[in-house]
Amino acid sequence: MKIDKGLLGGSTVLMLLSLLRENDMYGYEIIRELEQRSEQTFQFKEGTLYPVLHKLENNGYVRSYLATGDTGKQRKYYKITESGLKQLAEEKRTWQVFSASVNKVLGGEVHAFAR
Amino acid sequence: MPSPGREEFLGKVLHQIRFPFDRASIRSELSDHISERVDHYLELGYDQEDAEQAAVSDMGDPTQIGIELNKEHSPLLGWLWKASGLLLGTVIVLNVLFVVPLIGMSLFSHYTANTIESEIVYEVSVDETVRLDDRVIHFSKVIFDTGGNLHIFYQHYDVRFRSGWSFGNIGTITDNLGNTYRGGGKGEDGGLLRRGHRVVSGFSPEANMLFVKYDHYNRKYEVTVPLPVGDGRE
Repeated sequence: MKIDKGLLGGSTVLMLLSLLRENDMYGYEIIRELEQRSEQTFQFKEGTLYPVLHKLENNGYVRSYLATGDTGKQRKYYKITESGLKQLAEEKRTWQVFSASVNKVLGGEVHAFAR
Repeated sequence: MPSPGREEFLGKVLHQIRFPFDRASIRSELSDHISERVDHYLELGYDQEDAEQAAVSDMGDPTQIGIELNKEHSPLLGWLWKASGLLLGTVIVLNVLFVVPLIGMSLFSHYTANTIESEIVYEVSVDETVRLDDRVIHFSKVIFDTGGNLHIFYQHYDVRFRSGWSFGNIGTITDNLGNTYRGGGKGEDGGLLRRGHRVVSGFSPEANMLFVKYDHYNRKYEVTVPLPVGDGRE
């Protein structure tokens, strides 16, 4: 939970694991997906992705393997594991509680400060 | 083509990685990423030099990235951390570890082959590292020969830098067709970094996935290796 320094903040692990649940991906592919899906909102220093991926691998949430893709180039792919799927569910729940709480605060501020 | 800027970036990252065993794979992963980004910029109409420069600058601060990566590639620190809290547990587990591989070695030693006697059908480079307690196992190569033997090459070492026991049993070998194989392993004496070579005879030439699964005493790993197979197979 404290591995997100340097990337996008608290939701990094959530986003990475969600992407990898759909497909095995290599690093550059992950960056491109993040950029495109967020409509370029998320642009960051790309190299900082790798410490996070390697941390996820050390934690057993993903594992990596070398494979040759459609271009004939050998690449290092990441694949989500059983325990990664569990972690994803956990992170999703945390995120929902967090965002719901923030929304409550935002929605409630008028009443809270109107005297 | 790697530019001086890229070399400098990679050099600064790797400078932070204290554990030499992982440097090559980190280097190629980051360099591959830069290459992809360079291609992207070339498509946008950049010239080669500008594309390289932009791609390297997109990566971020190499020293910072190196420091963060080093935290994930430092087995010695991992050991010290473990030792502080789990000394007793570790000792018990190590005793178990001593016995299992010794039995494995003596059972399988008559199967061992040191060299590949038949011609090579295919050879796959592998770069998979797994860990069992204080033992790190790195799978490096798989070779299938015309005699139907599959050779699995790996190196292993103990993060406490002791030469200790041999490691004969890398786990259960299966393929995507549902076959399970038995076969011998040979641990070659190599001091701290030991080399192992497991031979699986009668391996299916049709198989396009190899699985090595280890699951003993609550310690497990699984390694998947995609295999190149003959024409017309996916």
